[in-house]
Amino acid sequence: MKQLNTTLLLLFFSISIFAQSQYSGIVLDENNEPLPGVSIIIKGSLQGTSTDFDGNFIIDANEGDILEFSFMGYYTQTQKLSSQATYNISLQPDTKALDEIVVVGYGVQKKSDLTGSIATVKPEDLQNRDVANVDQALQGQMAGVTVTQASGTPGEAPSVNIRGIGTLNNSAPLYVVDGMMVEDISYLNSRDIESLQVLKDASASAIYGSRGAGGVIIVTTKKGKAGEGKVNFNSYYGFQNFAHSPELTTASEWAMLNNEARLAAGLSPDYNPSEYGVGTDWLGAISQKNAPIQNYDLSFSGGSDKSTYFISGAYMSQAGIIQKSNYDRLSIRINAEHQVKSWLKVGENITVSSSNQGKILESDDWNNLLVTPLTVSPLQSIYNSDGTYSVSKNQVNNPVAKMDNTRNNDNNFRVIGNIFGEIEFMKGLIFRSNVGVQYRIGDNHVFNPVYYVSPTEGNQINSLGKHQNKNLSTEWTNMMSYMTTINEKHSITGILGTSVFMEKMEWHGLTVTDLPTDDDNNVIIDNSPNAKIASAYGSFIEVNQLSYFGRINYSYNNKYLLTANLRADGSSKFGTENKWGIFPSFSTGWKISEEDFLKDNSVISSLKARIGWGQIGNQGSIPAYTQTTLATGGNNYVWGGALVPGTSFPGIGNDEIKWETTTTTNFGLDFGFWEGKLSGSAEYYMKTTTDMLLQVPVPGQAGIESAPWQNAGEMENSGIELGLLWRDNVGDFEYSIGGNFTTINNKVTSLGGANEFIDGAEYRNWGYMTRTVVGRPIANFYGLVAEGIFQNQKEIDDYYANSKDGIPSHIQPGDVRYQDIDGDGVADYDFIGSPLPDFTYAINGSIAYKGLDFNFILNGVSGNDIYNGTNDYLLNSTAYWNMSKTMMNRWTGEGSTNNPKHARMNAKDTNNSLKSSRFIEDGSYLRIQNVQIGYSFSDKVLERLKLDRFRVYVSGQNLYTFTKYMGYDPEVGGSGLDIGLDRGAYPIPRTITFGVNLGF
Amino acid sequence: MKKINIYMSLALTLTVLFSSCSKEFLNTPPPNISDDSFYTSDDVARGALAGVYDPLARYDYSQQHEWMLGDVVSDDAEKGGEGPNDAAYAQELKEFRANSENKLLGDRWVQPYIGINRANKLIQGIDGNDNISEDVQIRIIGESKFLRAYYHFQLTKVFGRIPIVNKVLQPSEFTKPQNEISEVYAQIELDLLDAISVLPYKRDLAAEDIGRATKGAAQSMLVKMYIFQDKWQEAANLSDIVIGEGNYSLEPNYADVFRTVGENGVESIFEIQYMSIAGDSEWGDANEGNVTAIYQGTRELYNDKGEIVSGWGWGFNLPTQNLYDEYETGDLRLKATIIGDGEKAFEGTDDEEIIATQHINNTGYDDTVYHSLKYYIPASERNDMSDAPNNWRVIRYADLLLWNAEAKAHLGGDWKTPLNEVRARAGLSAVTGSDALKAVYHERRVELAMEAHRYWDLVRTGRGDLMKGYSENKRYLPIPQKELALNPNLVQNPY
Repeated sequence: MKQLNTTLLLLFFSISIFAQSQYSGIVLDENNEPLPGVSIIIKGSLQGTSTDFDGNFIIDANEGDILEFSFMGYYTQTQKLSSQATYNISLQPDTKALDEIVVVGYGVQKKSDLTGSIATVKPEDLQNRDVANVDQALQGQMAGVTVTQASGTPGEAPSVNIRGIGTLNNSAPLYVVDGMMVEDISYLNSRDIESLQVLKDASASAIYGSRGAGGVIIVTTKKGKAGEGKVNFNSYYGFQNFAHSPELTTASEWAMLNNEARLAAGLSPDYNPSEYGVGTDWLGAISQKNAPIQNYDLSFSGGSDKSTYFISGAYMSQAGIIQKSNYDRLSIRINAEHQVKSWLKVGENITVSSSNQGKILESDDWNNLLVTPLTVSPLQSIYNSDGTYSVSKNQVNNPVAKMDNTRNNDNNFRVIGNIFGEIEFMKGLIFRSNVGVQYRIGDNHVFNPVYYVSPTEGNQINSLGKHQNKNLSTEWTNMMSYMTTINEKHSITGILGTSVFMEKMEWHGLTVTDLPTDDDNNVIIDNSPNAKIASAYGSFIEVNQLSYFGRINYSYNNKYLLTANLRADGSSKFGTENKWGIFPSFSTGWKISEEDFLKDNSVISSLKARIGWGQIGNQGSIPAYTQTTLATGGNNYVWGGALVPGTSFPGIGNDEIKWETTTTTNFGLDFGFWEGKLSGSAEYYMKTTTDMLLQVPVPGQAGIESAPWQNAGEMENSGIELGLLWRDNVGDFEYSIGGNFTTINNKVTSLGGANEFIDGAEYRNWGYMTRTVVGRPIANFYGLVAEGIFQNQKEIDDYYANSKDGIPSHIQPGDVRYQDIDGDGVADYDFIGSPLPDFTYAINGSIAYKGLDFNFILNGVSGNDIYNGTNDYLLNSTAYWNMSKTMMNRWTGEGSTNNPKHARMNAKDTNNSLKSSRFIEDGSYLRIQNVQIGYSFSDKVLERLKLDRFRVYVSGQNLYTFTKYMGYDPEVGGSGLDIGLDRGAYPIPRTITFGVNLGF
Repeated sequence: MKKINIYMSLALTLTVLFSSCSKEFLNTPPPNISDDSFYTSDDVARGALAGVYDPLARYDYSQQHEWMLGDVVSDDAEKGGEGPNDAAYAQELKEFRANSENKLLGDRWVQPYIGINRANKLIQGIDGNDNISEDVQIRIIGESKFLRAYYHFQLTKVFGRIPIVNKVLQPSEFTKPQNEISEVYAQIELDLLDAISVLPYKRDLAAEDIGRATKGAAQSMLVKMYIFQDKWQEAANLSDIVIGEGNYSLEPNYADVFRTVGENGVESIFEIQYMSIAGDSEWGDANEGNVTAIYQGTRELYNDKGEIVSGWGWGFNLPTQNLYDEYETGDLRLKATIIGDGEKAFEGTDDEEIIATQHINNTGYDDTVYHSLKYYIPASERNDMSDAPNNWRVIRYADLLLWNAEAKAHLGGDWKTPLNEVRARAGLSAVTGSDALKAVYHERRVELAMEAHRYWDLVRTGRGDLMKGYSENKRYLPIPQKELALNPNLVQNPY
């Protein structure tokens, strides 16, 4: 220890120390107006400041240092310091692509110096989207980043996938907010965001080690700037409605189909179709028209050259397009930084957020409130004449009764805070220590009141469930960084650090019953007669992680770039001998446009080639304690008429469990043409996951309920990512058009054995819907292949010619014909579709003319399949439930249709609704995700109103979707092996908002 | 400068410090109790024994499989339910068109082995363990062996050749090949003989132990094993012993066997125990209730005005006319077993209700007009529907008497006495015919109707062709495709 210490000290102090003095000045724009907020960095260091409101700056530096002045939209200018103490700097506007500063893991880099694959979203692109959750605003913004909003329930966060699905388990990205690792960013207010970067390949994200295997999203929140204080107020108010819902038969159409089904089965018809009109609009009965969404946020920022602050508070509230679902969130933030001593800087970022979510029953296989309104008979009225709930005749729960008696609320309270200190020992050598704590309490309150619809529908005894989970994580990172330039050609930055991370999750809850009243005010545990004998549960898990990391960035002559990372991670999740994993990565870049032969090229303004390779470990997939065989309670039995608590060992431990490793190779090209009018990047990557953490199924005879975790599988992902942007202006008319394109090829290359498959997505009593096998993408749908309809008896006879069991008596012309490859009269199972798209894409554009601005983003997915689960009801030949309007095109006789979706009606059908490709639909879509038109008032008006900024706008979300998909919404999500199965999820609403942005 | 030097040393110290404590830091002990330290007391062993019984009561196992295989597949019942597609896997089995992807068969293979593994784990954990008192060791091991035998039988009667698992398997043994059927029965017999030698009589059970396996349950189970192997002499001898010991008798009123009063009553030899927990609206395995009631409950009822209103169940497992016709005139068992349209259940009680089996829409009741009353529970006992308290009757004394009769019919012994005892309770006169087997088969069908015995009786006695679509190659059902893939040593049945 001592020896190491001395060695390091010697190393660091071999560089001499200069005495510093103070320099000051003013920065002006092309019109000689002062420019506030210009960032000033001493070249080759991390030291810097920014100009105040009047464009003034003061900085401690050494004679001979070079100051770099940069400001968005202006050429960066340098000034070498001489003995002169004050400088007047004038910046010239830059029409070329901006050389942004990009936040990389544990540091910043100029975009042009990047060698890894990093995508950036500008804060204004996030803020242009009036959505509740920052993740939603990422949709379509970057190539390689797939955002899926599987549920439109207010407050529900979408899933984010970076470069495909890396593992069968958890491939969610890691979020790093102001240096703190967090699991999601649903608590963030998008207007607090200063920058957002996505680290896509291993060479970029490796510095975050094991937790970054699914990619890393780095968010930096706004900091105050020296100068006069600023106040910003933003607000919007809007309305949401259903964008699309499946088209159903009317009451009279359904009655007609039902009669036809009964007749086909030899039964007498029940209805006179002409008696009924359109029937009951059940979906309308539980939905809310023009459901309001609103948001208000207010922020204050400013500071002196010693201290800066940013304080904000925001409230957002969203009602659901289905009653009883809603969300609201209150969040406050304080960010500050203080230069305590010339060599010591400290700061803090603190967020407190409290959210409330009202939930309805969705995604449930049987009583889903998005499905029952589709399947209940349109002939049935909502209420009986005496005002009681009507009982359905097809055993679908009355959706209105269910909704009226739903009381399910989630409350989430979070505090996330970190403080950091930064010591500058000498020029370029900085020590930074960051301590962060996040605490989250989630409270779920479920009350099931007493109500009665029928003997099978309703609730006889009320019950109150209170469930709580608490999550405390603490992170302490220490890091030493050094930056220097040798001979003006060799620029070196190095970091060395450690990180310790502790997470404890605790949960408990209880349920009591038989409360004397259903009145919300009295629904408390103590009012239950069985309060003292409540059924309760609870436990905790604890995960610790320790890491060492280091990185070197080297650039030669600003042309040749090299980055090398090494990270060692130790995790308590792994076996005794396998706690540690060591993960290296390298990347190089060549700024071709800096070479003499391109330097003054009039067409190519920038060109850079990048190659990267790296490995990252992953542990996210597995729960804690898989090393040990553990006893579980709750396997109870009854003796003597009383409950006897039973225990068992559902699984077996595997102490050999170790890190899953993802190896990525990345090729990238960044380019700018015609002075940056056209810019973009193209990338190709290959990502291989080895030692994949997998619960490899074990033979049933082992008697193990929960298969042991093993390092078994292998998977490959590869793809192309393309991003392009054209930006130009014609006088005052500025415009841009851009887009991105992503392909992902996924293939499972091993499941740990020769002859195996893993089933997923269990649905109703159909069994498993997806099967994962070696050689195919994960989670392909597996079932019968519906190839057409038997048009006549001869086709049936031919089909069953070789069947040893003869022709089944129930098969008649008009029934679905399933593929029988071997001709034995038994239909064969096969792979019938893939939920993974061939490619995803987005198109965006903007126009600005004087005060007017307009922008849009279209988002598309192509080539994926969806298993439309609700069509089990809506295309059912029995006409037992309400039906899809498309069944008006059903088979009615030879030659009428050969589309297996539209089989004949038959009340006794047993053939047509088997798990098959009949329910698979093309999930491709192109969506008008967002369109916004705004107007900013001119300087004259602003001056009169004493404002800096005043903009009003109208914005539309999810305006229209081009798709052939028949369900609510083709944006069907899922996780793990349960993807692409539409169980009837809450659709994303169409939203129109009106907003205002004010600043002074 | 010196100050800086100190800070710097401190910082570096912090940076390196972590490594010293890392080993401890990365070992987080689990909150659950682990394998090595588990069996510490008699109470713990008792809890683990409850865990061995637990799979008996599972939703995807006994609660559906028993009657779907035993009744629906046989000529006694139709599947029923919401429509043909509701539990289509049972319909496929009934039509003898099941394939190896059948969901019921998939669960059927897995669930008994879970019970077997729990039994083996418990035996291994307490055998010779000083923390457990010796008498507790002996009894719990005996009970575990009873259950291990029971679970093996549940497998072999469906799949025939199965791998015997009589110890905790190591991963290398997970792909053990199948054993011959005779070997499986030999293992079952061994376990049952061990259980018989140590388990208490039913009369000696403490009140809080009612429902645990007894000597009589193990003996009767062994009789059943002899019957399934055509070991008539052994079956006759052992059943004579059980009858002679006098621990069981017939419930005087047949209908009471299936009511609360008959639960664990004089006729009961072994039952799967259920209870209803007030307010527990959880489903399936999450509660301790029986879902058989809601599965088999009626979909419609008549109200006071004679209108058809929604019922409380899903209308599965509907008795056939063929079964109805099997009853002799005056057989009291008919009304206790089968109920038809417009008939009253629980007549004269507060629970009286009138069954409607007319169609009100278009599916469900068109194929049949009867309901089973045996697992039909009265309204006053229905709690959250999925959570019925009625036990599943696995072996009752009438079953044993009829095995005794069947064995003796084969041996040429006195088959009439046990048979007539059963008939007398049903209000019928003594048997007159001389075709012993015919008489026994008839009696078994009507006495044990809708109790999930019919299918097994038919196939074990070579009368499978009474079922449409049956042929001898359908005797054992397909082994799940998933299991064949996971264990290449398994050989598929010729279904």
